[in-house]
Amino acid sequence: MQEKLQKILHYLSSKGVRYADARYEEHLQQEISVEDGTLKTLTNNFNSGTGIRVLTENGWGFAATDERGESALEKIADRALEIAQASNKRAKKQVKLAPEPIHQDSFKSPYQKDPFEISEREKIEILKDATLKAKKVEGVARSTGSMLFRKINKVFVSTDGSVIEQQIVVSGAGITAQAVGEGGFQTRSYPSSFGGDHSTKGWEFIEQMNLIEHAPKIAQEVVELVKAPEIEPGEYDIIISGNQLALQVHESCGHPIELDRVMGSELSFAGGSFLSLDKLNNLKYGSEHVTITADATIPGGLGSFGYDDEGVQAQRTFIVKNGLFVGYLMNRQTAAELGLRSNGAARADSWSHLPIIRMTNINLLPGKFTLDELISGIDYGFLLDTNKSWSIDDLRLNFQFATEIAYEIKNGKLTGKVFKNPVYFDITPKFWNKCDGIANENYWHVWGVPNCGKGQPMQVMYVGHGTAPARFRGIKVGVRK
Amino acid sequence: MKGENFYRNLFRLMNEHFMGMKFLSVVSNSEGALTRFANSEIHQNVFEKKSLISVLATRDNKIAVATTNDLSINGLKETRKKLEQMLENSTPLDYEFKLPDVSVGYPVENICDSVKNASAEDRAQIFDKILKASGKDVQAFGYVSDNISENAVISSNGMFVYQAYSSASFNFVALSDSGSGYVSSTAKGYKDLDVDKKIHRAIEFAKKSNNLLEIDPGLYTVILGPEAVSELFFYFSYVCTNGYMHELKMSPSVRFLGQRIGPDNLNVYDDPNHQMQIPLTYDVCGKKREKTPIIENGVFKNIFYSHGAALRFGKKPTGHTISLEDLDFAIPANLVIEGGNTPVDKIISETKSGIYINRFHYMNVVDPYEAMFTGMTRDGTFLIENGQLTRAIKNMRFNVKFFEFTKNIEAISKETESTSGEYFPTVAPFIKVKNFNFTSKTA
Repeated sequence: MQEKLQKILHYLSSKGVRYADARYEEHLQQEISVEDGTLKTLTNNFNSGTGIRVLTENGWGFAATDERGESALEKIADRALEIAQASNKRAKKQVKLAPEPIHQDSFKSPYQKDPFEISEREKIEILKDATLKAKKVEGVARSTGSMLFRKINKVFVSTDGSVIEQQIVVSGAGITAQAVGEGGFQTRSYPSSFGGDHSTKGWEFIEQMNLIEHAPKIAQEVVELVKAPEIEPGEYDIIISGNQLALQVHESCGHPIELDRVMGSELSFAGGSFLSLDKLNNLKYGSEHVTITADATIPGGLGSFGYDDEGVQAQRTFIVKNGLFVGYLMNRQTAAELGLRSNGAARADSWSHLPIIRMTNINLLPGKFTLDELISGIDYGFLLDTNKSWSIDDLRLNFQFATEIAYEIKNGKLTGKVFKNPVYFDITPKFWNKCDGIANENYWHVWGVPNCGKGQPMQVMYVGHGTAPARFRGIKVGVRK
Repeated sequence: MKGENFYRNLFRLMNEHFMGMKFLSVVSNSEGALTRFANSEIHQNVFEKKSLISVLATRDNKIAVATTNDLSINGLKETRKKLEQMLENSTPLDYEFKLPDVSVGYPVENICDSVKNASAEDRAQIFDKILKASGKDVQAFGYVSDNISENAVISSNGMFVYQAYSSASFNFVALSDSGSGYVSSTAKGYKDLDVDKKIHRAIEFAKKSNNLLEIDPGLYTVILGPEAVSELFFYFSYVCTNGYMHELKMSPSVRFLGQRIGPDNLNVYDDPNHQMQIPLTYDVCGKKREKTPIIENGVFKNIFYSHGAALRFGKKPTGHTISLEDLDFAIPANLVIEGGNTPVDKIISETKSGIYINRFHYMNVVDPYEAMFTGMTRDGTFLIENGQLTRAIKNMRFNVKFFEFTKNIEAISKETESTSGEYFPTVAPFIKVKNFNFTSKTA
């Protein structure tokens, strides 16, 4: 395929384009879902195709096809060129691309056991056992489990001379238990909600989850939850667990640092960002405990890779350093506008889509505390666990999250009492400045978020967030209904 | 576009290569283009062409689904091989599975020439028009796109239905120094998009949005524009109309189906034949889709059963299965909220005190059992004083229970508009409602 792609780039060069790249990808995906011990879905999906990106003078064009022949590729290259010319006619400013070394390399995400070598039956049996164990607990109305595996092979070539081959393997799984009571139904999930946890590891990642072992615990908790009270609305000291904090980082840090969003590219759809260029190296985004990195090099992180889809090598860069906002996520074009090197965040979710700025692994670095130490610092408050709902405004300031459960803390100890339907809300920089402690590296885990939506046409990206439980002072919990 | 004959030929090939296997298949092809602009410049301009074949196979009450975009003979052979292996490893369902009854229907083609012949230059010319109308004081953000889709539903028991349709859509955020306005539209072809009429509203809102007022959270009378109404009713349809969740007693429909939930003139339909909708004539199981009331004269009338949920709970499938990969999920894809009798200008002029909301942002479900939704206002929120939009208001967060919202409806406008929506286009009017619950502000 590499030769075919290079031939197409030669063809485009002969037409006088300034820059072009071509990406061929093959995606293999398997999904399994089980409900109350019975298989519900077993699917396998394969697709492949080629996307070609062209820059004429100052206009971009992109076209993609799943046809494989050379003439089809030539046709699609012509289409990309025609589109670029229409863009170029209306271009007002010069497009610059930040320089990047030429890479001729290959990358494979590291795994021990290929999940596609594990039989479907073995996967189904684990989910059956886990959901049946949860369902066995009295009061549980429904238990579900799911697994998702993906293998992506891609070849990237550019007129700069880069030739990169990559293979990324993704594994993920999760289970839920649901119970119905007079006041509605409740859900508890393990290890996280909305499909569980995901990584670029192999089958060993699923084995380490011990889904069957954890099923009774979430089942017992959900039965307790339907009878539990709601928190009286007010301001409380809270600890947010790692799986919820992952989404908090995602929405209130990950998205606002996308430099294309800052520059307006998403304004008509997903919105802008409060982190305007004047805030760089000036804004006190959080307390001194808050240090955040963008790191695509973490082995197993769902947002890890060797090279982004512009051929820029994966990197680790600082976003927030001891509370100070110091960096964005960039592609080659936006980095050039700041006179910087791209930090490798141009990603496409498929061969059929253009790379846009996406999160990699956006990580809140661990602190020094044990979880007990964080809890012991609270007179009265709550430990909030596992996301249930999220929403944030178009500048990524006003957010509201709901979690599945709140554990009561009194006089520095968990009381064992639980509360249902916890909701907390705040304004992003005010919230992160209220962080007065983060648990240490023993509690730190890179959570995989497989459903990050952005762009038009919509792209759904796999991203990761390293987090450990963290404590926040005086947060508004509960909304008037 | 491949045309009906291609799929008829595929029907023959599939029956040949899947002989002895019970299957249901959806084969689709789409060609779509999108021109996106920001800061009054085109920054993204794309085209994609793709095909897909999904095959659901069943044996011994087990099912498996394999999907590929390789439509060659070899692709079909590989898909069959994969399905045989999956069925071997699969386990039986806990209800009796049957392939859908055979639908017999005429091929349906709704392709507009304006989409069929559209080029990147044509889309750019719509951008030019937006730019010209925006002038110097307003910056333009948005997209213009078009798409041609076709699909056929094919089964081993002889089903063959074919549909092809075109769509064009655009959205536009007009941004001034101090505020913004927004409009969107989707139609079968470019001439029905109403670009000229709509863009001026967005520009007017942007220019009007200066000197933003901050108000306190609380209960307010609001008038929602069609964009905001569409969002709210989409979430209602997602959370409250899936028969599967109803049967599990995990849907608000358990308490509200059959009940009066709003005024007599509240009528909501799933209507593939509506002239402002993109007609989805058959669902993925080949079931013909008809106009179906969801809320009729203020009464919550119907919920929807996908193929799997219908078999599982002894119901009739309603034509709302949207994926072979999840046979239990149903959703109306052609949502129409019918207009009332009062012109919107009159509704506004009769409002002494209230808030006009043009658009919501990032809605989500806070409590599915209560159908409680949250979100933010965006791109045009104004104070209404003595029947007029007077001052722009800073964005607010709301938390609203849908069935309290419908109970509090005071007026529904005569005018309706097509909105693009995040998932499906929706036709919606302006709605006036009291006691709308704002819970926080961005200060």
